[in-house]
Amino acid sequence: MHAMMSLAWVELKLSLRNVIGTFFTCVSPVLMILLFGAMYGNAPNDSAGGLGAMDEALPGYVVALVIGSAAFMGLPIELVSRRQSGVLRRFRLTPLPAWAALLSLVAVNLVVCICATAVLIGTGAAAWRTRLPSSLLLLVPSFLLCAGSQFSIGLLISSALRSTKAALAVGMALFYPMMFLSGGTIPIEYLPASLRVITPFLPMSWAVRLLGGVWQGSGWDALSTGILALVLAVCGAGAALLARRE
Amino acid sequence: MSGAEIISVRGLRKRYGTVMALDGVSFSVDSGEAFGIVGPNGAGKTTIMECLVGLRKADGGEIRVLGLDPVHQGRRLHERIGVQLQESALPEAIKVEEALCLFASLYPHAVDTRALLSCWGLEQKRKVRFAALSGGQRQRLFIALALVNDPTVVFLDELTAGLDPKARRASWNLIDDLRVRGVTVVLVTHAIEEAEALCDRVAIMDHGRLLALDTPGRLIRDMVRDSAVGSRGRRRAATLEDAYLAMTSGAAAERKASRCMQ
Repeated sequence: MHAMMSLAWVELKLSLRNVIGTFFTCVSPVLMILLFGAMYGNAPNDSAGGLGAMDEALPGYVVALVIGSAAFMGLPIELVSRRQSGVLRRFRLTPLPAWAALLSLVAVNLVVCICATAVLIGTGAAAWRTRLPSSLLLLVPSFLLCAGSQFSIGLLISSALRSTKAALAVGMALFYPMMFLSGGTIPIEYLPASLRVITPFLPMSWAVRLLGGVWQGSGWDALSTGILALVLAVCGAGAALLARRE
Repeated sequence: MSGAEIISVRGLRKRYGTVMALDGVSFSVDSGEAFGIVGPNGAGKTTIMECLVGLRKADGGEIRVLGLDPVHQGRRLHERIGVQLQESALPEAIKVEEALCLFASLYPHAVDTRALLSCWGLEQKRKVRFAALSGGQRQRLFIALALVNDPTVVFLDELTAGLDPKARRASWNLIDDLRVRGVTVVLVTHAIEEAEALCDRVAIMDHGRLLALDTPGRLIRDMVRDSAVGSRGRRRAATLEDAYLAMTSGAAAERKASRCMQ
């Protein structure tokens, strides 16, 4: 336990020293929502039950910009570069189990995502008086499922790829379409019908739906829960299987 | 300094595609011994090392280190051994002292990290990130990390590669110091003179096979006796390197001949 704690502490410091990663997960989402907020404003909309545009969009930004950048860019690039350079090899020669090293990296990424989410909530409230999430009790588990399912995709990428360049390419190839087509940044209604067809096939879109429902107080969506749990199970098992073969 | 058998390797085989990296290697190392493995590139030295420390699973044969199976009892083994490898790294942003303290925390028993830092001349670099260290500084940090758990057996792969003369001397002193304390040392190296000076016994490998295994003195004596040139016509005393070259080039010639005959 002592080992896990000191490892997690070092991982946290390393992640804060990683300027580019911190920028993508913590700073760029803030800049993006400032931009979107300036475009959409947050005037109450009767057809949306009195919610403003930013009220409606905030949970999507959390999923797409915060969780997405950590899951598809930060985590895979860090893991693949550690494997490529021999960091994982060095840690395998200690009594630390491989899953513990992985778990502490995932946990630290999760902590960074939680902090970045708090910053987004604070920014929204300060700039446009966006509403706070309706139930913290439901928000926490739904956030964990959203983050866990997207992270498991990132882990699967990491265990399948051998070079940092490949991880960057695949991460971007997944991240950008998901960010724009999952309903996380651009409302699905704005997309042309030809693109809207793709949306349900993007795992991120179900995370946007689950977190949005809990956030706005319209309840816990069973379908998206099932799909995200399936993604988590399949990708998690796939990543574990590939890691074992090494 | 020798005692009970601490490493035993029997009939070890490992194949990469069509290449036999290890072709039936057997040897044993006694407690407190300094054991050298030398051989040209591709001889299988690193593969043996990786099998011994549990990073690689052999295709056949048996390995016991401290009575443990390195692959299936890796955790228990890793608590008691120290390893310095060629292809390894640390996260770029980790600082020297941080790395040493982190590794110390991963073991049930660890030595004083401050003493290790000063012993390996890293005190000035305590707060420096891994990415900013020179090759020699990284190497010294890896040696320090290999010693942080006060290991019973230490595996060193190309210990002095990239070190300046002062650090190299310090490494040599390290091995003497480890032997005095009864620690078993397995040293893989290209530097034959290093193996000759430091090791009780040396294994000469080529193409996945053990060509010879003996004390440096006896390896040299046998070579002088067997070689056509002999000691006559030789301007200087024979070294282990002469024995090594005679053996490995001879082996190459033999293989070439057998290929031509097919």
